[in-house]
Amino acid sequence: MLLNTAHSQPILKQITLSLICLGGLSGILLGYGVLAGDALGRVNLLYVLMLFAFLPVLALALSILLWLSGSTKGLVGGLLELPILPRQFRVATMELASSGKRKAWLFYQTQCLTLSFALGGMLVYLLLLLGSDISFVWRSTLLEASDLLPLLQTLAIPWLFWPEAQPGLELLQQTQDFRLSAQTTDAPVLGQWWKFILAAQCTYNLLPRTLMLVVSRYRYLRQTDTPPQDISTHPSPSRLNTSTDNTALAPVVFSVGAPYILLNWADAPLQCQQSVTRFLGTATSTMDVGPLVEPESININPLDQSVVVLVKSWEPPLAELSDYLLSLPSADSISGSNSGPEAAQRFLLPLDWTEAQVVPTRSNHLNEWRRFCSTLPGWQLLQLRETP
Amino acid sequence: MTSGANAPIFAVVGHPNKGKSSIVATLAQDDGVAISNQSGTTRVAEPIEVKVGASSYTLVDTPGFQRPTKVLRWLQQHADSADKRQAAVAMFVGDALCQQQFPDEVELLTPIINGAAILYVVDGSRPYGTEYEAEMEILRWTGQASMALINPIENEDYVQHWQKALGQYFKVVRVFNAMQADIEKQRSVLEAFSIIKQEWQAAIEQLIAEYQSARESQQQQSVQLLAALLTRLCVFQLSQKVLTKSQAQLAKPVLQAKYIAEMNAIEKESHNTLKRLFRYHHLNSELYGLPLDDSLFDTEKWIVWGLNRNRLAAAAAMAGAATGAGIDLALAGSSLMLGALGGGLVAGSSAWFAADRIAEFKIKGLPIGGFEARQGPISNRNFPYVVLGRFLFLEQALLSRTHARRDDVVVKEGDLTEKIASMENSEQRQLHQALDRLRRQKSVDDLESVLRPLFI
Repeated sequence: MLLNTAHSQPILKQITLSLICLGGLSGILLGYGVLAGDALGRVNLLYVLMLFAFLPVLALALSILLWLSGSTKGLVGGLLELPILPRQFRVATMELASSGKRKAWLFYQTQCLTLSFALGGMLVYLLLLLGSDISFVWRSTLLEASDLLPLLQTLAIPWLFWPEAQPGLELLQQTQDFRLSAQTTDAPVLGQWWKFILAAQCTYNLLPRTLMLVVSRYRYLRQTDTPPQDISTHPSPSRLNTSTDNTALAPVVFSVGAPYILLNWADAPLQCQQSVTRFLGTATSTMDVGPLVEPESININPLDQSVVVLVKSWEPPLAELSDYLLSLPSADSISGSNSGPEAAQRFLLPLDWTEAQVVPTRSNHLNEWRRFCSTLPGWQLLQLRETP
Repeated sequence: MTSGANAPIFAVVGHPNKGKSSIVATLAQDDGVAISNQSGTTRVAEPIEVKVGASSYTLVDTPGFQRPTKVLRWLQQHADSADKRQAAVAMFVGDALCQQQFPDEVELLTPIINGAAILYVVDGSRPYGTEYEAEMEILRWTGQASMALINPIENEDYVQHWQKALGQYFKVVRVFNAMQADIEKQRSVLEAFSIIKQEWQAAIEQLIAEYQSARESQQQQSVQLLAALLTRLCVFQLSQKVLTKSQAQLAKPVLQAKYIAEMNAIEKESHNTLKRLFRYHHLNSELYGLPLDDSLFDTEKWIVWGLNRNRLAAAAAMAGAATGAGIDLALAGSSLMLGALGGGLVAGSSAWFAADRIAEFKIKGLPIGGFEARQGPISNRNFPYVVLGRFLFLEQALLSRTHARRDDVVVKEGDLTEKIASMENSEQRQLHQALDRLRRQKSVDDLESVLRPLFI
């Protein structure tokens, strides 16, 4: 997720690997310790069951209980607080704690540790079965074979489908051992427990731990998954849908050199028109124009009469205006040559007003019109030198 | 699920440079939408599909009207009664000559003819003008569901004038400031459409619900981000192993500079992630350096394999205890665990007292011991509060702005005191305890829950 614990993932992986190694090694050592037996190769069946069935079930129950009780430590949590561990380990788990994911992570790590322990034990068991002669016996001062049988039968219920791995009274009696009495049982009979022990290991150790590992991993990964973007746009909007081909600004002029006609495209009120004539001199005529007013209907002498088109400065120039301006008769169109500065000039006058009072044109509006004007051949941008 | 053909489509239309793209950016919550002060920025109709959870809708950013009067005259020549108006607009869009003469109008009317609802945008800070009537009339001719949004770009001086005019052309008229519209305002635009376009009602209601859950998700992720940031900054430390104490002192300026740079980089990266979470991909935020004092440097003698005296003693004690336990096991417990106990004690204490001599051992001429120069972690009591304040300030700034704005954010510490004071007493206590634990390098379980009340 986002920034979160991504940077500490390599350290967390190191911790996982360390725990797997620790668990596997412990499983191998303890498994060997129990399965090596005495000088005659006799192994106490009850100790084996204790290590491979009772202890794992107890540990599993404890683990689940700790999880349900909301404990945030457990076996791995305790291990990670050992002072000899590198600081990075502690920091990585601190970050997990802050994000509320430590509990799920520790539970997952516990399963890694215990499963590797189970696998280590299983590996030793299989290797010793293959390369050694293990004699499974059991000893008890208090229990008889008939006392032990119901417990073992109950343990073996999950693998009822495997008759060879089921315990029997006869086998129990044959494998009961008393250290002071001479060994009488046939050696092959002593090895017959191996299937029962293998089934017990798989059922009470490997299988539940594998299942818990899968569940805990799923729960942890679900917490760390990057959530999908809740809001998204497709396609990602580009900033390229822009027109940047016209950045030239037309110069601003402040006077008209010849008699002029004022064309009111802006629908400007009379007071504004009067302000314009105060600055520029009286217009020879004033006309309201618009997109549907034919240019031919305007009586302009392009050789000696300038044109001032009044527009609203705050409105952006439209193509409609551009069409109109370009359709007005110009001196060039009649004489075919440049007329003098005193004649036939064309001006665009963006004007801003409030309550019919002319106010200064804003620079961003003016620039918009200057850009527009630079694209119109023969047109100049006019401004009133000062507002009244 | 409202995606694909059933998803609502809105064409955002109007005069050039009246904030259409700003409104698209705000509604789509995406600052990647092109916005410019120059008119004619948008040249073609650009559909943007906005996915919100499992729902979606499309906003079409369109070019502005350029020749509305002439287009209306064309339409009037091709429809002599109201029942033919919609067909006339469709004919206009499909006509090759019109496509050549009126490219902008064809571009903006095409999505509307294809079923998009209309969001007509005007500037409420400028007076109403009759030149707008042609384009409003054209839009009315399309027969599509429509809403007018008055975008007061500079002020609200002419909003009432616009309302009077727009009310004659559009069923719904709303004031919608693209630069300030909060989530509620954005939601109200969608809600209004669910009323005027009945067939989209269910889809829009689902969209609104998805927006709500998206908002909650953003909040949750912000909390996660802050918790990670606080922890990371509070525990951050740099170290360098050297042979002598003088070498450690020489490493001090380098370590200090690197430490400051990395601490600031961590915070900046976190802030950038927060901006991306709120869908600001182009927003610049100015962030002043963190207040890091220069008393965070330390040199410590280390012994073997990076273990200091304490750790070496602990490791030796554990190894000794394990060996002793092996002997106990071999003696079948008859040693009463004295092996483990004695082994631990002897090995641990030996390592402690002989640590200096162990450090002097040499392998191939190099001593196995040395010094560790360290910079950090932070110990200032106020430091977590500074980080917290800056993060919350940015989060609040992101929440209160819209994606149409293009100005930078200057991140300050904000008024954290007031924010904390608004929390319950127990929440305040938990927060102070949690931040103090972080400062003391202690882990805080579920810091996110402690921080969450700050985001409400």
